[in-house]
Amino acid sequence: MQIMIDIDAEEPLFAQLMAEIKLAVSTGTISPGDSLPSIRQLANDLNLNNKTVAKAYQLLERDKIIATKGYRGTFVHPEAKENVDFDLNAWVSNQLDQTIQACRNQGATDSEIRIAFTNIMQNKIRGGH
Amino acid sequence: MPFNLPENIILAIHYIAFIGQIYLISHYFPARFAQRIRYILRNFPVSEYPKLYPSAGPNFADETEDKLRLFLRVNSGIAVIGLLLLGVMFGNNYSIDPKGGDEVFVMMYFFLQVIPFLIAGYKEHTQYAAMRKAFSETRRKADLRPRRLFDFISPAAVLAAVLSYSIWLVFYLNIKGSAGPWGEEVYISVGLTTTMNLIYAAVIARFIYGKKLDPYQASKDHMKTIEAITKALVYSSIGISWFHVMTVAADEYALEAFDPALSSIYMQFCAALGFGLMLSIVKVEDLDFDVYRETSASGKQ
Repeated sequence: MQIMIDIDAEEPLFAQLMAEIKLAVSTGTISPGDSLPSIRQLANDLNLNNKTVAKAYQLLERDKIIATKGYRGTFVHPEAKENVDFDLNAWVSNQLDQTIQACRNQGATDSEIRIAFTNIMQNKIRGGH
Repeated sequence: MPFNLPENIILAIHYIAFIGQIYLISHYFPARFAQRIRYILRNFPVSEYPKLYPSAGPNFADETEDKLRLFLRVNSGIAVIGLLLLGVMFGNNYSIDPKGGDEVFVMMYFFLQVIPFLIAGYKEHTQYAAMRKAFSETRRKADLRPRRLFDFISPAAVLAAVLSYSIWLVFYLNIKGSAGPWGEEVYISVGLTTTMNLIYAAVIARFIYGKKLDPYQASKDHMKTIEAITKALVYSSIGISWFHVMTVAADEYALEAFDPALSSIYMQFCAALGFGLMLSIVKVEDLDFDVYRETSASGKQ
C-alpha cells in the first residue's frame, strides 16, 4: 500500500499524512494490528523532516488510529476503524458552537464570551492542563 | 609439502585460481557491466527518459559509449598484465614460498583489477547525486509497510554470519593465545574485522531505513536493490570469517603454500558478491524505467 503527499498543496504535510493513513484504515488497506513504517523510514521515503512525520504519528496516536509500542514499533490501533471517522476538529467546533449559542441566549456579548474564553484558556495553560 | 602434495599440484591450483581471477574480474564482469549500460542506453534514450540522465549533454550516448570502450580496454589491459605475470611465473619455474607471503601479489593484482570498478562506482554515485539535485517531484509516494532486515535476507543467513564471526574469533584467539600473550597483531586483526562487520551493519541499516540513492526509483526496484546489498554484505561477512579461519589454519598447520590460491578464490568470491549478486537480483530487464520519463505517468517511486 502506497501513500502520496503533495508538497505544493495548501494542506499542511502532517495533515496530508494523517489523511492518507486514515484513508488506508477506512478502506481496509491496512488493518488493526498491522505494523507501520518507522518515523525515520517514512520521513526518508517522502523526503520530509522527521518532525513532520512525528507530529502526524503523535496526532494519530491521540486519535487512537495508531498505537506505538516502544521499540516494537508502531501499529494500527485495535479500534482504528471505529475512530477513523471521528473528526476531532469538527467535534471541538460543534461543542464551542453550542456553548457560544448558550452564552448568547443568556445575553452575553461576543466580547464577554471572547474574554472569558481567553481567560479560561490562559488559566488552563498556566495550570498545565 | 602440506598433505604430502607435490609442489606442481599446489602450483596448478594456484594457476587455475589466478586464471579464474583474471577471467572473472577483468573480463566477465566488465563485459556484463558494459552490456547492462548499453542495454539501458539503447532501450531508454536520453530523449525519452531525461530524468535518468540529469547531466546529459547533446552527445551523451556517444560519450558514454567512448567511456565504456575505455573501461573495457583498461580491463583488457589489466587482464593482459595478469596473463604476463602468469607467463613470467611459468617461464621462471616459479615456486610458492612454503612459509607464505606470496598471496601479497594476488592481493595487489586484485586491487589493480578493482580500480576501474571503483571509478565506475564513483561515476554512478555522482550520477545519483545529480538525480537527487534535479529531483523536483512535488507528489511523493511511500510504502505504508515497514522495511525490516528479514524482509531482505533469511534469519538463517544472518545467524550464519554471527556464528561465523564468533567461530573465527574463538579459533583465532585460541590459537594466538596458545602461543603466548596476545601481541599487537591480534588486537589489530580483531579490531579491523569487528569494525568491518560493524560498517557492513551500518551500510545495511542505511539502505533499509535511509533515503533512496535514486529518488525516482520504483518501490519494487528499491526493495530489490536493498535485497542485493544486504545479501552481498551478509554473505561477504560470512566469507571473510571463513577466509580468516582458513588463513589462520594454514599458518598454524604449515599450509601457507595454499595462501595465494586461497586469497585468489576469496577475491573472486568478493567480486561475485559485489557485482554478480547485484546483476542477478537487480536485473535490468525487470527494472521500471517509466519513472524516468519526462512526464512520469505512473508517478511510481
